[in-house]
Amino acid sequence: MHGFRIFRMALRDSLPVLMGYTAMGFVAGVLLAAKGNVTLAPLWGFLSSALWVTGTMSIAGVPYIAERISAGAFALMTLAVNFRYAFYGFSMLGRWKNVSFLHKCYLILMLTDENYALEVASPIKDQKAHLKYCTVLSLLNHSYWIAGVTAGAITVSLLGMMVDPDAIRSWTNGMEFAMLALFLVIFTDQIREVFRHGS
Amino acid sequence: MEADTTYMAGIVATGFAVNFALRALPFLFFGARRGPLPPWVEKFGAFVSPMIIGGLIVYSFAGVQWRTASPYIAATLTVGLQIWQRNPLLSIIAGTLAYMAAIRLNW
Repeated sequence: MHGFRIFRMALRDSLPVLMGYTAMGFVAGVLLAAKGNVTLAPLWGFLSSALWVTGTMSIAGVPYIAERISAGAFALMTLAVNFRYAFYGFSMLGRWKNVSFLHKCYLILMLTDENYALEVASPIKDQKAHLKYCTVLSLLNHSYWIAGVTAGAITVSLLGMMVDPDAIRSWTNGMEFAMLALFLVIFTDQIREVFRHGS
Repeated sequence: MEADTTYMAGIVATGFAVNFALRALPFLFFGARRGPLPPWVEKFGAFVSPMIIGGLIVYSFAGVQWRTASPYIAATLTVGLQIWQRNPLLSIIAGTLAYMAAIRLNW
């Protein structure tokens, strides 16, 4: 399969995530800057979105950061809230067997709910092509998430006096449904497969 | 300000370490192994994915206004369109727009 075709497939599949991640990321960034009680919120928003890539903790963790929760307690909370991530790799073990160390580390970092769901659901059978697909998809979705969070934090920090962040949030309100819709679509197709194979 | 920076650097590093360790767990256990994976791991991987997606659906309802009719109307539209047209992007965009309209109408 040609590289360009794989790129187009990944780009098309990432569009629902574009809606979800920018909207959800924006909320997380606004929250961190407005309620996190931290200086340089855009910097921390950028770093945490790039290195955690988890909407759950970026949103649920903010009130605890504001209260200066200890790093140990934050670790335990992350462990409890995100334990599901420990199962995602099982579906990828075979497909990512001969991938170089750093490349594999990046793919592992990007095992988010949405990325995982798309990678598992991809119809690409050829292992090399699937790997390319996963890599491009990860880069795209990662950039959407970072852009959303950072933009949210910058909006509050720099433009807070001119633009009401709540007004911007109210326009995009409801866009987070795109994530639920993505899971519903993938689940529907998985059920259809089960019926077709009659197992 | 200085204390703030140190604190946030620690929190960002902690979040990175825990999230990455969770995602890397299966690879730590089975990644270094040469030869084929044990059959139960392959089966578990295939079996676990619809379970995870199903769980994510339930979990995602907590992130929307699940006490109102809006997400259920939009979800029915999304699944219905997907069964009928088999076009993921169409189903997702139509479902999301329906949800955004429904919550603005206070359904």
